[in-house]
Amino acid sequence: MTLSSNPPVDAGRLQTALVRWFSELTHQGMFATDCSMRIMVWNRWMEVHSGRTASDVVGRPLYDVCTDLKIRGLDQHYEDALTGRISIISFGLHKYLLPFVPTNAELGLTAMPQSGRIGPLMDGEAIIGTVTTIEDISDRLANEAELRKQIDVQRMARVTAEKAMRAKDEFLSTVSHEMRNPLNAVLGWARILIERSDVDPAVLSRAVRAIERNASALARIIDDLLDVARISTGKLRLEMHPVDLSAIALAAVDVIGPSIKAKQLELRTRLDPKTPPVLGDQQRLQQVIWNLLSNAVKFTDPGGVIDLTVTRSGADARIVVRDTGHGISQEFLPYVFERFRQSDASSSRRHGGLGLGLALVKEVVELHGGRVTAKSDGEGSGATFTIDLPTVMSADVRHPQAEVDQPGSDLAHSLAGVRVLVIDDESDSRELLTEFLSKCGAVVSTVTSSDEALSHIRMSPLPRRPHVILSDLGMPTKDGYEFMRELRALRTDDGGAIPAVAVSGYANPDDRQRALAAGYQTHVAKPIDLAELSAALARAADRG
Amino acid sequence: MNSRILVVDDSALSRRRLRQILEPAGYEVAEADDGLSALERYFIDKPDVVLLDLVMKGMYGLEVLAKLRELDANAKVVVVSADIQTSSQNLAEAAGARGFISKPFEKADILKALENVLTGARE
Amino acid sequence: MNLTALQQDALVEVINIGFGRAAASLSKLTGQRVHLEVPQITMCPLDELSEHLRPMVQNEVASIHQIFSGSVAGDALLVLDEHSAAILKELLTNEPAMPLQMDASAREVLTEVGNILLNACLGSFGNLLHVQVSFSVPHLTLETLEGVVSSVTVNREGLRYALIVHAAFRLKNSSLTGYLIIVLSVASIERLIRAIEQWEGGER
Repeated sequence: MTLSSNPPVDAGRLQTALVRWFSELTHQGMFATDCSMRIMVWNRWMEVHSGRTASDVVGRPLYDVCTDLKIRGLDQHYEDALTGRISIISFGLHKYLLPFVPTNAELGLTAMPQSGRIGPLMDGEAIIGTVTTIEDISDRLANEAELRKQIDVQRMARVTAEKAMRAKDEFLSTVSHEMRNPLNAVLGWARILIERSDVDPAVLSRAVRAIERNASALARIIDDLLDVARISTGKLRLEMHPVDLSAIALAAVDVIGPSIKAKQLELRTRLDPKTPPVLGDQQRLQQVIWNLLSNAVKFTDPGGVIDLTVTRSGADARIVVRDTGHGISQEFLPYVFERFRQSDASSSRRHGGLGLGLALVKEVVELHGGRVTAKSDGEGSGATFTIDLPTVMSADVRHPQAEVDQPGSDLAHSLAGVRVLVIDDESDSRELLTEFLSKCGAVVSTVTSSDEALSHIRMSPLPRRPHVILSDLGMPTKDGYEFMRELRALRTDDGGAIPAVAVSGYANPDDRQRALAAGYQTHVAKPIDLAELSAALARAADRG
Repeated sequence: MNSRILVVDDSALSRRRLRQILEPAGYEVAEADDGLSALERYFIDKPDVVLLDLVMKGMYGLEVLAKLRELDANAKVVVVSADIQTSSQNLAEAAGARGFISKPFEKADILKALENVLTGARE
Repeated sequence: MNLTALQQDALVEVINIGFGRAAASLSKLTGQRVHLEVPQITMCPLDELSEHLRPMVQNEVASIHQIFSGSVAGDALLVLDEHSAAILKELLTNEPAMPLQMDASAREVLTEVGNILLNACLGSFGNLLHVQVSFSVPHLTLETLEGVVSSVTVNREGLRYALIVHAAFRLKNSSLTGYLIIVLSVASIERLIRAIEQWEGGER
């Protein structure tokens, strides 16, 4: 290559060189034709994506090289270009100008998405050919798809939030409505009693009964509300015991009986006595059955039938409540267990209630590791609610806490006949421990302080003296360490050698050391693992 | 007797241009500048052929065509319109138009279309 | 300078023909039938343009701007309010609308549509005048109406007029309106009017 300083380069050649420079450099496809539509320029990008070199195509008719153009009617744009018009070939309306291999497979397109321009090549006022530019817009499309997704997500979030807000508003108005009725009755009767100086005894008794009945209704509404609040904040505590479902089903039937009679419904029960007990909260499970029954009563017209079945289903226990009532529409079925939802706002007026019953059922059942399903063949064809609960026999205990809370399981050691003295200043703890240890067969006495414990031990005759002591460490006035030092100071005959287990919330090694140094046989940290506790107590009692 | 042509177009320019083509060729010309008056004129003047614009205020040309054919199943209509979408041509044909001339029109196209319709009618 | 009723009528017809072509292109592209309505036109001195438009278009507008040259020369713009622009794009591509600022693909579709409309209209003028009109590359901008107006008024010398075409059409039962604005010098307007008058008398 030589630097030519002579003769001077004319502007036309310089321009041609410049165009070549840019056309090779650009990230766009570019080709030009003359007025007879023969290809004159075909840049590097075009070579790469068409797979055809410039030397291969230059001089040939464009429509021979790109046969697709005529087939798709794009030749019109070249006709236009030759009359001075510019065409935009947008991706939105054309997808692509020439069918090239996609550069981004993730877009799922069969051809590279393109944005193109077709225009005249001007030499002053004269049109001397056409020029086409093509841009690969894969990246842009990917970005837009991402943006669109984000916008959708935001829109969904907003819709969900608005829906929740609306449901809450509806719920509040339902609650107010439901509470106002009994409240009006209470107020009404109370005013009658205030205003009348001498009240007929019959009226008085009617008034008092009405007040009692309506106040109870109010109390029930408030209980439901509190349950919902507890569940939604995770504060609902279940007291887990082995529960006989048939027994609580019968109890629920007792409660619902009068309304069934009043509505002239028939209740058929099939309670299989061989249904294994489930581990659960008796009161809550009874509430679940009652809720399902009262729901069935509410939506079944006089003359209808309600079936209540309790059976074993594999390793689970199954409760089925089936009615011949109004049924549930397919559209509403997915929402039937949603809080504050009723199939239509007006149904809360027709049927009363807060729309909380079924939501509570679902949440309580799920807290038990069970599941509840609703079936209906549509409006008018009745509904069936089925609850499956894991039993104490279930191989897989689905509720994780059940393992811990379950005193009857193999995990808990038997303390049959063992006398345990529980020392704890907190009544909740005392109750919990008593409950659990009794289930393990222990005979439990409780005291609330160290001094009380010492006098209890001193005053117990030998046959009634505790076999083992379970003491909290953190107590006011005299803590568990001091208690143990005083106990161990007693003579063996006075109970000074009774084995003891310490319980404390401070689960650090120091605690343990201090407790053992003070004279405890062992130490169990809070939160208490009941299996560990029963094992510790059993070991300690053996030693003693 | 000379054939009578009803020109229906909301553009005065178009009506005048058609008249300038039709009268020297020996046709009698009546005009209407919207759909309703077209229907009215049709039954007063009893034209042999209607030249009908599509894009008009009020009643759209295709509607006028349908009404005309409903009232007179033998109405002979040639559409003369700037609405050159294929779908418009198909709709006009389906509604019974005998021809479709796109604007801007040429004198020869107009005369040929009229001749076709009129001779076809005599057969 | 005012248009006589006859001139106005003739101009409407010319633009009608242009819209008819644009509709045919659009319907071929999208497979949708475009229902055309008769355009309305007004003409005003350029400095009164924003007064004329303000009652009809508010807020941000999408405008497609093209410069044309030849024996009739000037600026051509298609102005759509944001709502119409979003709907138009949605109807044409069956994709949900997203704010135009973020959606380059939608802007591109609108540019193509604007280009088709502007070309068809100005092409009608060109055919009429038997002259070649050449066009610049169209550009879409999203800005306030004032911004659009000032983009055609600044740095222009001599008295200019704006031809405002109120274009209405229906697509899939949605009504859409847009404004086609053609800015011309007095000389260009006079040439245009003369051509129209000749067109009326003569034959093509």
